[in-house]
Amino acid sequence: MLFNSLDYLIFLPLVVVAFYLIPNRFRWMLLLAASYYFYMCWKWQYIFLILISTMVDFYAGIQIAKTPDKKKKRWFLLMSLFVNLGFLFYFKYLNFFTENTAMLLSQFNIFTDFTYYDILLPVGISFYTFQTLSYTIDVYQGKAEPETHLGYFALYVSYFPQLVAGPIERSVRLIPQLKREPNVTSDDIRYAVNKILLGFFKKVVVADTVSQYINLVYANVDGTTGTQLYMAAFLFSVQLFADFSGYTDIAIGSARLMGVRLMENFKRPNWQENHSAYWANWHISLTSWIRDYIYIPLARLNKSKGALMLWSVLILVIIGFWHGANWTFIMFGLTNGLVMLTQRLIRNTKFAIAMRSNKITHELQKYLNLNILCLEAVYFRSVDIDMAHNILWKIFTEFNFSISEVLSLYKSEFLMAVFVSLLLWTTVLFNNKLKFKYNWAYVTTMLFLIIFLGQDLKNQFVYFQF
Amino acid sequence: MLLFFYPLLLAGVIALVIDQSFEVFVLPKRTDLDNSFKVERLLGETDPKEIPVFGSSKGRSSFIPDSLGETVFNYSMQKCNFDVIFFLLETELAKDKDAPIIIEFNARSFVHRPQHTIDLATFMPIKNNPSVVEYLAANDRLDNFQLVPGVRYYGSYVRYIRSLNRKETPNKIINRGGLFIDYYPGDRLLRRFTDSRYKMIEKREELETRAASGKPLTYMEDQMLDQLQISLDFAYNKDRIKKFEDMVKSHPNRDILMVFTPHHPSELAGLKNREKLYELMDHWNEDIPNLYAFDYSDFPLPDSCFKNSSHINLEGARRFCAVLNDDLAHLLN
Repeated sequence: MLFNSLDYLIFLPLVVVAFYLIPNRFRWMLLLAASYYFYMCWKWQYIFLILISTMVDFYAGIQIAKTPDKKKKRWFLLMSLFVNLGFLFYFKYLNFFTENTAMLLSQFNIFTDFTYYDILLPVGISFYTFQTLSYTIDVYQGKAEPETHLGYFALYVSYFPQLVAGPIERSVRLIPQLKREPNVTSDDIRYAVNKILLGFFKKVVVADTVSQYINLVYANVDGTTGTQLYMAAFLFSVQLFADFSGYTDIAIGSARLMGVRLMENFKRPNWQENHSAYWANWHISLTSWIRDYIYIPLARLNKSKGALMLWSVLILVIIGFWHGANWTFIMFGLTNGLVMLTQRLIRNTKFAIAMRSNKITHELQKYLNLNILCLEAVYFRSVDIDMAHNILWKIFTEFNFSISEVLSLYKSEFLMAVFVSLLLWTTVLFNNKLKFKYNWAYVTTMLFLIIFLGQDLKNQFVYFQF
Repeated sequence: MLLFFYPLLLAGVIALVIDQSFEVFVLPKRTDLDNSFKVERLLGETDPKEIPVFGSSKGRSSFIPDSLGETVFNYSMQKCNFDVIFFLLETELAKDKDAPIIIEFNARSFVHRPQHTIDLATFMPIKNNPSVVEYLAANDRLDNFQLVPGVRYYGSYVRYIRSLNRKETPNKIINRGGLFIDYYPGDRLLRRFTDSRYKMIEKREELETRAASGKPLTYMEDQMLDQLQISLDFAYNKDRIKKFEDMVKSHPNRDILMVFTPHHPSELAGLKNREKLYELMDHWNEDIPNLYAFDYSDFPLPDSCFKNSSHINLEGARRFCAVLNDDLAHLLN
């Protein structure tokens, strides 16, 4: 089920009403049934993957805590890693590896009979796999107690507001909230409603409108100029932010209605002075996961300056590869990593310090950083590496400041994209300063914008494919 | 809890207000260029002498009704292939009349890609019409919410309002459903468009050669090859062609004139299976008495007669219609 669907607009109120009508001790059953139904609306067969992950990790968590034998603990942890990462590998990366192995062998004139497996990627597998893995690793490391109630654990793995696109929650934060009697105030409800409306606005008004221009440009790369491609790259950063943070807003709002506070996943990431700050504020639940479970263990292995630099680049490559089994995502991560490394190396130079100390140059630095991010995102959006390089080449060799050139193709789509981007900017600013005194005006305006400017309800979220 | 439900109620009120305002203030301002207007017109038109022209944006920019006759109306719409034309043709053939029907067809006419063809906005104001609803449902383009007042136009307001802003200007001629632009992009820009197509052709050749030599294509390359073949080759879809022919044969009193409009040489260069197209046109001319095929693909037009590499401009349409009028005179009158 998509958040931006009529089905969800019926499903959510029904679940919320039912949630408050039944005693707290039965609520996990309701939410679990609702979560499984939510997932099965997409493809019911894949619920078995979630069930298997749930059972394996529930069992592993209890066994890890129960046994004093370190070897056994490790064995149970490996079992959890093997099952969860095995699913992830099979459904997401198998074709990539077989395909690239075949390509590599063909360089040595060894031609294998490469078969493309027609495997449909289960929605949200990258999210719930990481969430459930964090539980077993935390139990193994003694940071979390094992959950002994299978129902609550199953709900933790499949909680519908954040099941398919995060935020990736840790068990120590989420499970206690699912268990306790919710204390929902009128401020919580207002916050939740505002958040859901903001999410819908970001998705159906901003992301889906901007994507129309981007899709046209990317479908006609050879027929467009470097300036138009630059504009598409710039607007793609708007689309990506609006799409993903829109989903998260709806997730946070939906959960808050039932007294659960999910973590914030975005804190104005695009307007930051460097890539480190960007990644600290973009998809926070994933970057903190990677930091805690990959970067810190690697740093413990070797914390020399050179090694730490290498680990920084490596984790961004992993983040890139997490997004999809394609060289474009690897390049996306790699370019981000290399730019971040360069920025760190020059951070303490006199020039960089002077840039930061002046307000105007500091803002300029943020603008420059945003531009670099947009160019890196060309890899994210492109179908393959050749396409990305073609686009980047055209941007670097053909870009000029000609507005008429930008408007010479897909003019109305471009103007609409710019208009809704400005609306987003205004809304985000306004929303930050919003006082509940004027909440009715905010709600009315958002509803009007969503109903009047909203796009087709069939557009998937970009991050659903991950 | 009331706090949670009041936005839902408010949403309902706002939706109904927008819906009604739209019906009262926007819909009546449609012009005969608007797709929904065209469909509505076709459903209600009873003039026995009207000669309809069906087709895609190529048809819309190629057939000047004034040049072809007083009773010609151009119903061509953007992205309109046979998914839509079947519906229009069925509607037209159900009428008790003998006037001929002109259909613009091109290499991609018989491609079956509903998601890339039928724009719901095309049918928006008449989607409560049973035949339109049935048609949209058959093509998997109907959602239940589209039948509910208040949300039925959701997602289409902006597209719709944007399409209203079409006024005739000195270099934009609107003529009974046809839209003709007096614009030449210039040598440089046109070359960019044509180069883009030649690159697609090269890429297709490269991938086809590699696939034929037994070297593996990546999944993305395989997908790309599919897309390139759909975009460049003639879509010879047997089932759809048969359906069309059966429809024509069942109405022997109606002459159907299939016109392959002038194409830029770069567009024809990628048409690998062109002989299939000729075979089909010959078959129509020889075996189906009321079906006529006219091939103007190679019609000699200089680059200055093209708006882009896929569409002719006003000057191109004038030159083309002058010749077409002579060729069709005996069938149209």
